[in-house]
Amino acid sequence: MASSNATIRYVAFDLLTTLKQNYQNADINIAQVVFWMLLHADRLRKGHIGEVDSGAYLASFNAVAVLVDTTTGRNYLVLPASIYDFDDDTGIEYITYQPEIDRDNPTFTSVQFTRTTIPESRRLYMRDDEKPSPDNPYFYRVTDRIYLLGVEQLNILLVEVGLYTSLNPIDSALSLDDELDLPQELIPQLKQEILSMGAFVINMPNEFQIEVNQGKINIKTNQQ
Amino acid sequence: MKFSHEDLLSISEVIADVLLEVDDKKQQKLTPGYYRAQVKYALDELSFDTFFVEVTKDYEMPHDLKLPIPKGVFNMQNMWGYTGTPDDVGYLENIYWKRNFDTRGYNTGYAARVHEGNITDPYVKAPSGYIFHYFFNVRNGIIYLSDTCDSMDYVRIQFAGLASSELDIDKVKMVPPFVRKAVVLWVTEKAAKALKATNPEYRIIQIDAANQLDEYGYNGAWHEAKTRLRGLDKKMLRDFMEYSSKLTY
Repeated sequence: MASSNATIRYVAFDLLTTLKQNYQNADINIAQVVFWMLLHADRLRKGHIGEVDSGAYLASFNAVAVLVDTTTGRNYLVLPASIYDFDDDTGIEYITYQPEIDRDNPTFTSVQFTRTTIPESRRLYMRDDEKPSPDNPYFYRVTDRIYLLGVEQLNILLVEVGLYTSLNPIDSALSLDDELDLPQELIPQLKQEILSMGAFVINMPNEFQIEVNQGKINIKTNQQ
Repeated sequence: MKFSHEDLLSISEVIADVLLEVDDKKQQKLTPGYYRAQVKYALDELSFDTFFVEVTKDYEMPHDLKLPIPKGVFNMQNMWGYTGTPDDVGYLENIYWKRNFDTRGYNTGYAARVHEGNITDPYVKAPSGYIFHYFFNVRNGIIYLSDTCDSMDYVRIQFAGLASSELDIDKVKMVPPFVRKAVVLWVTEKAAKALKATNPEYRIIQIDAANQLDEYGYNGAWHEAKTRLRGLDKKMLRDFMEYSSKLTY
């Protein structure tokens, strides 16, 4: 099962209700709970994707524009969404383009770009079979840009990319009625983590104040 | 064994097996080009040992009687000079290798330890009536032909060919079916060897593949592949035995 089918609103209000039941006077609002929720859900989701070989969370972008860097002349595309920073850039599952129109095959079965890095790419030019070319293209990532190697002589306008995108807790377009894109089996863990964090955040100033008042913590300032 | 080039397998068929063996189905651990290069490497090694790729080339007789050995071939097997054209061979002569033959080209004479003009040498003397008509030597990748070859219109040379250069023009289908097992093991061994630098667990895969391949022994896929490639066809073997027994060749 890909995701929980539960909406953000459903889970967030469930968490808020639980917190309020335990800490009636706590000043916690729904926006805060949603923020915590998405932060923790993102971390759990990253762990899940890293461990499970599944296409459940693979986001496919069929037509990403290829641009040309005006300074260097290099071809690049801008990541259409934020992705998980996995080892070896495996947050990018594939990048492909269709060198010839063949309606029998989907685009991603044609030429795929192989991942490299700037220093590693030097070795590729030492052997004809590995040399970047339209038949054997490569990509490397620099921040949110993906540069393409081997297709400089082609006028590629669009590529298809498959990405493991991350949740964005500060996305202004996010709606409470959106589905929480997290495996259902991880929701109890999410709830536990947020309640622990919520309890810590709520309790911490109170206990801290009590300990200060009781003289257990001696705060020295520059005035003393 | 002779085989049809229609039966050659594509490089992808070998790589598809290897990717499973080394658990690199996404080709993220090694590049696709690396795997392709290893397939060619294996076939070239087999061609060095078995000469299973046969190449015949015809050249118009060069004016300076110097002929560079073309790219992608090695181990010259036969050389003839002939009149006419490649499609209509006329008078033909074998051109023999003459050891130590050294010339600068047409009409510049030559030097050799056995030279027809050398009649006073007390140690290395050309026998009486000793004449080389058509001969050649090779120095630094260039075939030097004797002046007498100038009377011929063409030279036909048979070589062994490098598999990666000669087998398939678009370099896609080039694996003879009866060496597939050896090539898969070869590429697996090489890939696992490269991967063990970052993950020592690949050593097990490498050793398994190397054992089954047994490149320098007689109990593995490599020896089997060489035996198959070198083997005579049944028809040829039978005819050869017949010729030998009757001595009428």
